[in-house]
Amino acid sequence: MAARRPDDVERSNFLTLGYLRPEVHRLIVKEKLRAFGWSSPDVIQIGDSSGFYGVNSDLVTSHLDGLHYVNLSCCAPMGFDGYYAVAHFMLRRDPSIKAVVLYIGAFNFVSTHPDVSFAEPLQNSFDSLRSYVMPPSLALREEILKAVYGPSRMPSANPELEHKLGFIRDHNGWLAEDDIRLSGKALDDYWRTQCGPERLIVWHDLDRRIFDKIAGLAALTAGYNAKLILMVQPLPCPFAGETFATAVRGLDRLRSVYPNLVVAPADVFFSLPTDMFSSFPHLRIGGEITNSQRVALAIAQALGRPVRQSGDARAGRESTFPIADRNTPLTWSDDRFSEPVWRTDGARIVRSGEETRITELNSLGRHGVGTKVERIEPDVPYIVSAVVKPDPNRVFWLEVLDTTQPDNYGRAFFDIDAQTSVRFGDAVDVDIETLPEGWFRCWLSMRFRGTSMTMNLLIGTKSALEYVGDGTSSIAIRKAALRPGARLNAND
Amino acid sequence: MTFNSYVFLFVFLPSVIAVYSLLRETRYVNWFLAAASLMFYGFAGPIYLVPLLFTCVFDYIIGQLIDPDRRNEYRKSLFILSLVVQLGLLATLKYAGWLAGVVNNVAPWFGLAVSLPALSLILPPGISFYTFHTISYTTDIYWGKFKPHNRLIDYVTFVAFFPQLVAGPIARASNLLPQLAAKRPPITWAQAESATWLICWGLYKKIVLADNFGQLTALIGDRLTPGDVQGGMGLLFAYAFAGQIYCDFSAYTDIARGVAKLFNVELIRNFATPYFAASPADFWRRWHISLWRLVRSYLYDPMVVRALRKRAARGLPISSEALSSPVPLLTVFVWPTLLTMSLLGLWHGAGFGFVVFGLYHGVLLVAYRVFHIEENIIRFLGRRLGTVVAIVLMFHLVCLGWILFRASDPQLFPAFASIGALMSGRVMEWPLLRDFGYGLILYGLPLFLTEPFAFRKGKEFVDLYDDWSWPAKTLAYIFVFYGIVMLGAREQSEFIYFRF
Repeated sequence: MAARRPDDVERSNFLTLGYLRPEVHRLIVKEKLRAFGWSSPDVIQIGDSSGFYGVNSDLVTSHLDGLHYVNLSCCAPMGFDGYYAVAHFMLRRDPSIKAVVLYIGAFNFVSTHPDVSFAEPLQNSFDSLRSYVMPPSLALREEILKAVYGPSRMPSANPELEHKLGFIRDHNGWLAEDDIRLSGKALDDYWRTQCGPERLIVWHDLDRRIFDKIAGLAALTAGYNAKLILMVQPLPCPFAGETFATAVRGLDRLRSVYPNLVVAPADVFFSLPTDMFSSFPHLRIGGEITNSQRVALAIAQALGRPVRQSGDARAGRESTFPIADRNTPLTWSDDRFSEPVWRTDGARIVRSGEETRITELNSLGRHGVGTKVERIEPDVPYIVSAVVKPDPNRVFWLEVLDTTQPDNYGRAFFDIDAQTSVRFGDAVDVDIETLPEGWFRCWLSMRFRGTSMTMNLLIGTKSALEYVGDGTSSIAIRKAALRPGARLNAND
Repeated sequence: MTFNSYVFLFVFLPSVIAVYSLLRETRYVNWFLAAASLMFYGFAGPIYLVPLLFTCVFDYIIGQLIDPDRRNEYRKSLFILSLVVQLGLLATLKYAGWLAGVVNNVAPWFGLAVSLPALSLILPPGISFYTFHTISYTTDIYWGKFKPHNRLIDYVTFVAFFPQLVAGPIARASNLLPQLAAKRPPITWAQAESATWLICWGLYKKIVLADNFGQLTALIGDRLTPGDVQGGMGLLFAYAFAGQIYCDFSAYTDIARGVAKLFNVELIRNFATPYFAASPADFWRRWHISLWRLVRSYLYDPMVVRALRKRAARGLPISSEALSSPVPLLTVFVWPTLLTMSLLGLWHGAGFGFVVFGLYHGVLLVAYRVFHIEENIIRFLGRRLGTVVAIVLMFHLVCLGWILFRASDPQLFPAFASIGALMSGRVMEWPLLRDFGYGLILYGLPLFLTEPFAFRKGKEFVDLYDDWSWPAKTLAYIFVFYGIVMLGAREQSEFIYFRF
C-alpha cells in the first residue's frame, strides 16, 4: 500500500460502507465537506433538507456582492448536534467565515427530529478528538472495500446518486428538489394530513430544547466573530396557535443574550401558497429562486453589505423557471405514433380510432416507443408530455435524452393509480394532470444542451425499465408534445 | 456499556485492571470487583440494579438456611420458595406482558370475558443469566453438592461478575465462586497473551462477522415478502442468521473469557464448533454448553431419573431395550425432552416463536433417537462420507430452526415457501443470488477457514492460539486489526443474547 496523506474528511470513519447498504445522507454530507471544506466560503448554510433544496447557493452568491456562499445543509437526521459539528468543522478551517445561516424547517419548533441517527457519528468523525487519531490507512478504506465488495455493491454505486453528488458539487451544495410528486387525490389527502382538514396548521407544544441548540450555535459562531442568521422555512398553509408567538418571544430573548444572533425575518414564521411546496418541508423546484433572494437579502442586511438585484442574469439561465400554460405554443406534437417516425422497442403499436395502444412483447428488455425531435433551442427548458392511460399493473415511464450528449438525460415514472411521479437525472420538474375520460397527462421538463433530443415512451414497473414482458400489458396513448417551459400549469 | 464500546475497552477495563492490581492481595479486592461489576451493569440504568441485588441477597440468605448441615426442617420449603421467587421475578419481568396478551386472546374461545392489563415492564439485561447463577447456587446447596459461602461480598461478586453477568457463560457456583473467593496470583505473561487474543478474536467476530452478517440478515429479511417468493431466499436468510448468532454469541463468550482471564478467573467454554454437529444431541453438546449443562442437570436428568424410579417402583424393566418400546420411550425420554426443549426455547424470549423453536429441536432430538438417523446415515454411506452428510444435514436442520428463531411473523411463510420453491426448481433472480451469496461467502470465509481446523483439533479456534509460533500469532493480530479497521461494521450493535 503506497503511503498517502489523507485529508480530515477522507480519514474520517463517517461512512459506514456497509455491504449493499445505501447511505445517501451520509454520502451527501461527506461529499459536501470534501468538496467545500477548503473552499474558503464567506457564508455557510447549515440545517435540514428545507434549506438543502430551498436555497440555491449560486443565486445567493450572485446577489451578494463578492461574497461566496456554500450550502452545507442536508437532512434532519443530522440533528442540531450534527449541524453544530459541520459548522465547527468549517469555522475551524476558515475562521474568516463571516456568517453561518441556520436554515431550518418550522417543524423543529415542535419536535426535535425523532431520527437523529447520524448526529453522533458526525460529531465523532468531524468534531471530536477521535477524528485526530484515526490511523492513515482508513483513508484507503473506501478503495479497499471497493476491491473487496466489488464496485457495484458499494453504497455509492448508484448512477442516480452519482448524478446528484455531481450536481451538488457543481452548485455549491444546492440540490434541486426531487421529492416524489403527488397529484390529484393523493395530493389532497397529503395536505389534509399535514395541515389538517381546514388547511390550517395549529401547533400547541413548543419544544424548548431548540433554544438551547440555537444558543449553542450562537455561542460557537460568536467565538469566531461570525453572525448566526436564523431563517425558518415558510409554512405551506396558514397557521395559528400560541406556539408561534411563544417561539418568537423565545428567540427575542436569545437575541438579547447573543448579539451576533440575527433572526430573519423578525417575526420568523410566514406562509406561502400550498402549491409552492412539494411536501411540507420542501419548496417545489422553482420556489428556491425567490427564496434564495430572501436569504441573500437577510445576509446582506446582517453584514451591512449591498445587495445586487439583477441576480438572474449573473446566475445564468438556470435560475429562470418559465411556467407554461394553455397559451404556450407547442414546439412539436404527434398523435399518430406511426413508424418510421416512431421506433418500437419490445412492443407493438395498435391503432384503434383515436386511441393508440402500445403493448409489451414477451421479450427481455425495454418495452415502448421512441422518436427523435430536432431543431430545439439549447439551454431552454422544455416540457415533454404524453397523454396516457396505462394498465393497472404497470407504470408509465417518460425518458428524454440529449441526442448529442448522452449524459444529459431526464427520466420519470408515473404511477397513475397512486398518483405519484418520480424524476431522475437532469429532469427539472414532473407531474401528472388528470384529464377527462380517464386520461392523464404525464410530463417532465428538462433543459437540453444540444439541439435535438430523443423521447421514449415506455411501459415499466416502479423499479425496472428492462424486464421480461408478459405480452399483454399495455398503455393507451393519445398525444405526445413538446413545448417550452419548466412547469406546465394548465391543460390544453 | 458493551464489550465492543470505546468506553469499555479504553476506559472501564483498563481502570478496573489497574485498581484490581493494586488491591489484589488485600481483603478489599472483591469489594472492588463487586462495585465495578455493579457499576458496569448499572450503566444500562441504575434501576436494573434493584432486581439484581434482590436476587443476590435473597438467595444468599436462602443458601445459608438450606445447608443440609443445619438440618432445618423447612429446607425444602425454603428451597421451593427460592425457586418460586426467582423464577417468579424472571417470569414477571420477562413474560407477564406476553402472557397477559395470550390470556386476553384465548379467553374468549372459552367464553370468558377477561381483560388483563397490557403490562410493559422493562426487562433487565441478562436477568435470565444471573437468575440461573443464583438458582444453581441454591440448588447445589440443597442437593448437598456445594457448601454455602460465608462471605456475602464473594457471593455478590460471583453473581454480578461483569465479564459473564449479562450473557454468560452461565457459571455454576461450584466452579466460579471458589475462584473468586480465593486469593488469586498475578497473571503470567502467557495468560495475559491468551486473554488478549481471546478479546481481540472476540471483537473481530463481533464487529466484522456478526454485525455484518446481521446487516445481511436484515437485508435478506426485507426481501421475504408474501407477494414475492424468491426461490431459496429463506435459505440465504437462515445462513446469514446462522452466521450472525454464532459469531455474536461466541464472540461475547470469547471476550468474557478473555476479560475474566485478566483477573485470573477461568470461565468455561460455551461453544465447540457447533455447526459440525452430526446430530441434535451433538449440537446441544456444542452450542451454549453452559445453558445445556444447567438445563440438563436441573431439569432433564431429574425428570428422567424420576420416571425411571417410578417404573422401577412398579416393577417395570428399565433396561435400554425395555425403554425403546413406545410407552416407556414416551414417559422416560420423549416427554422430558419435549418439555425441556420447550422451556429452553421459552428461556430465550417471550413468544410462541421461541417455544416452537425449542419444540422443533425437541422433535429433532426425539426423531434422531427413535429412528437412529445419524447411525443409519453412517451405516449406509460409510464412516467418512456418512459423517460429512450427517453434519451437512444437521447444519441445515439447525438453520431451519434459526428461521423460527429470527423471522418475524410476516416473514415466516415467505421464508419457508421460498425453500419449497427452491426444491421445486425455482431459483431467485440472479442479481439477488449473486449479491447476497457473495456477502455470505465474504463474511463466511473466515469461518470456513477456521472452524474445520478447530473441529479436527477438537477445540475452538480461539483456543488453538497457544500452540502457534510467534510469526503466526503476529499475522493473526495483523489480520484481526485490519479486518476490524477495514471491514468492521461502523454502527455499534447490541449483543443478541443481551435480550435474553
